[in-house]
Amino acid sequence: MALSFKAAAARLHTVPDLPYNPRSGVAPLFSPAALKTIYTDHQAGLIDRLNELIAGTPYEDKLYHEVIMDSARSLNEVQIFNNASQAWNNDFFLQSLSASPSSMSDALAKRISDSFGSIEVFKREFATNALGLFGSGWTWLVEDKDGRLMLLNTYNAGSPHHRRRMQRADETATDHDFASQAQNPYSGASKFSAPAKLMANNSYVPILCVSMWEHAYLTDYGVTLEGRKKYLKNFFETVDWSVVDGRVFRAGGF
Amino acid sequence: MRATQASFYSTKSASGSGSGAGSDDDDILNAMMAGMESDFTVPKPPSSPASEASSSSAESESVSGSDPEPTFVPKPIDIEKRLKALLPEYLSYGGELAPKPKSALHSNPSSNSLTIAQLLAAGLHLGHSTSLWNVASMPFVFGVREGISIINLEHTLTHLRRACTVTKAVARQGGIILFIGTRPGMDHVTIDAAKSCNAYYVASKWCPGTITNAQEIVGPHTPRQPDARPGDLAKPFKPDLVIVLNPIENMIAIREATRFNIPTIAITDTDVDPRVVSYPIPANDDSVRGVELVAKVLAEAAKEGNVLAAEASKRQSRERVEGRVDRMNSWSRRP
Repeated sequence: MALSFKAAAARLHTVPDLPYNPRSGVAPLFSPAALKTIYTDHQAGLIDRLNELIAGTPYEDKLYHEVIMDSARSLNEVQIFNNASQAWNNDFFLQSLSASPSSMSDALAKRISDSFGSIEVFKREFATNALGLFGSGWTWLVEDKDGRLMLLNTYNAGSPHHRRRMQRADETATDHDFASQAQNPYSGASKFSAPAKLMANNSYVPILCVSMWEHAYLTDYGVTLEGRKKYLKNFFETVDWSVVDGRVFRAGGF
Repeated sequence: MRATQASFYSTKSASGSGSGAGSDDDDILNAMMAGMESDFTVPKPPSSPASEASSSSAESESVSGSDPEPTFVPKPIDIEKRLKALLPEYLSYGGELAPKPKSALHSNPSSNSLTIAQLLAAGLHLGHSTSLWNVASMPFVFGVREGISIINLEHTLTHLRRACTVTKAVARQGGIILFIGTRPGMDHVTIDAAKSCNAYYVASKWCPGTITNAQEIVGPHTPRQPDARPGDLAKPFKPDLVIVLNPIENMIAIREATRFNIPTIAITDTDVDPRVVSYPIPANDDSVRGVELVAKVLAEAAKEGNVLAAEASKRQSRERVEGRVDRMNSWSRRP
């Protein structure tokens, strides 16, 4: 009698595997304890909570990306979006890392240098953006419809996929301050940041992200500014650039 | 923020001299603000992480002056296509949906290709205990074995194919087909069968009055007509064909449909009088596999009917367009 219900309950989301062993951490960025917090506890907790929330609703049968996009505008399903988006961002972040990362290919280096000037500028601006994010959030490298690579800060569980849920606003800042924010090197906005207003025919393609949620860097680096700078430095050494390369140069990318 | 405040006030002072009545306040404000601009300068940050990493002691080189300029050439791309190409990768992140539980049938079987062996394998021949026998089902009973009546599968197949023909014809005319299957373990059968052919379904309790009291029960959920004035009632739909997968529990539904002259198809077991429905299918209604087979076959017939309807409407619209074009040409050819 309850067979159909059991069958329905079984069809929920599972946590995907990482390309490295989570028990051994991923050097030099995360120790095993830190990776346990981020992946084993946080990711699994998000997916469990998401499964709880979508059980019995029409979101049960939807693919993961559909769950994010469909719940993004809904007032009732805010928790579904938050959990789903955060789990996606977390997974996107962790899948870009590797225990034995490959170096940046020449094509990718040229692509980044075209948009930023040089790789050093890119790394510096990326770090500045990430350090300027006050609170919890994600710093993204995204591509827009002209093929330009730019940086994006999304607060909390904001996602670059849905134009209304990018959650870029630090509530203390306002739109017409953007120009002055760009000049203020503490603000996390620079001339390489995505523009304050998203044009109507534009969407962003996420390429790379770093987690600036406290639980990510707290275990190994602490909350000090120096600790976070070290976190970002280690991040650049742990990113698997071949994965990033694949995202940039997939069909349609140039 | 403070920098803009300073600049805001400074631009005001530049243009404030000719603003008339407010100029006195402006002068006082300017006097107050004049010395404060120096407080609002943006301090330069200490050395950035990248230069820290390289541990360069030469901080004399200014950050903005020595950076290579981005040599970017915008090349507009179809961003929708780009996102679509990356979608398989994006779908792999976050979480993975558990695979759908496989049903025994891979695809809907067609009634033309059904064999008695398939019906036997699905357990459609197993009737109920002889003590529960409804005499009216006698023509369809093959015999008795182990205390239960065995249904003659030749009759099952014949009646199933007849029901398929009816379903196909109703779907061809664009009729509304309603699947009713309310056994707790078989709701997914009803739902899958109905969804596969754009039909309607009732998978939990049949609400009495859904057909006879439609204004009360279905009316509130029916969308109003586009030209309805406020206060107009909605016109609820009634099905054109009702397919019942467990008639014993849904006698009310069958009676309602009969009262409104709606043809009914039902899987009649040996404890049900097959004469209550228009097109009985004498078969076992207890086996999930069997009911799934029957529902899928009927759904397949309805799908074929939908396809025929779509083709006919396309042909009709094409002929309409061609007719208009022909008439247009004939007018232009008039002397």
